[in-house]
Amino acid sequence: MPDLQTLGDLEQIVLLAILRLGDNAYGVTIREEIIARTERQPSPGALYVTLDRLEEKGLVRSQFGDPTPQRGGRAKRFFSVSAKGVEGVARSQRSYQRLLQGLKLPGVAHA
Amino acid sequence: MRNTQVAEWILSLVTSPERAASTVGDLMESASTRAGFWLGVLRTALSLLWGEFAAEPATMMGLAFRGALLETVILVAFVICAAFVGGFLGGVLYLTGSASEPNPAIRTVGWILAYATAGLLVPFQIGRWLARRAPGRELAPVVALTVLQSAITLALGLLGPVDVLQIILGVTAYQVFQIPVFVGAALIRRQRLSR
Repeated sequence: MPDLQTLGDLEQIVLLAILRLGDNAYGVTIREEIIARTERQPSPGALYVTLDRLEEKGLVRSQFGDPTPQRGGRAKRFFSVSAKGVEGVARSQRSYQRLLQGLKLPGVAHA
Repeated sequence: MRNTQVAEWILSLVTSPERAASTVGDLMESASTRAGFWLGVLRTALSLLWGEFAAEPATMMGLAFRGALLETVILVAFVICAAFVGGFLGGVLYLTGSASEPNPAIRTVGWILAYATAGLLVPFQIGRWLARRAPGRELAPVVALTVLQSAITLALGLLGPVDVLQIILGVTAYQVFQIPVFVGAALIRRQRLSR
């Protein structure tokens, strides 16, 4: 079971972005979702390294789609979060929630 | 070879061919300019290369240390052997009276062979040796070796009177010497991926 130490900040962001995107999570859309929802602009290299690491940890799965002419016949690599990944990110977020309890931070709503 | 195929080839050195193709597709889709595309390719390749090293830095540094030690032992043995053979041949030629001084052509060939062995063949074989000991992360020990040798060069440069330019040149020169090591490791990786 992954603990908070094994899930870095970018790893959690990537996992959440994949969960948000559902069936359409591949390199381009994941990066766009992160840019749109956070103030971060991860480089493509940092994103692919993180995705590979998450896959090595068994937190995400990837599969290649059909080749598309818009991409010169190159297939998209679609990602989905595994059950272990869902549990890992949920656990990390619960830890954040517990830390936030009782704190009043500007612009942060508490569950 | 088209530009995108070159990009795919570069990325396939640091990841599987399928992932390289998919990554190039992503970069084609997201990059608005040609420069942006190539910047993305190079940054992604470097990130993936560094990522392999960063996944197991201690193991890779240990492997690199053993590789550097092996390379040093081989080069010292080579220098001793070359000096012995050179001295022996020179002595034979001198004693038989066929030459009072070394033939310039033979001397040139000797130097070329020495440089090719020390600068290309030995590092190439070290690259293969390192890659075989890191299956799945074949290029990571080469990154570690580069870090290690750059650190040694830097440390040696700081021992005497500090000449920043000389230190920078020394560290840069080591990156060039790493090319045969990288090629050796990349060939082993491609062999594994093609199986």
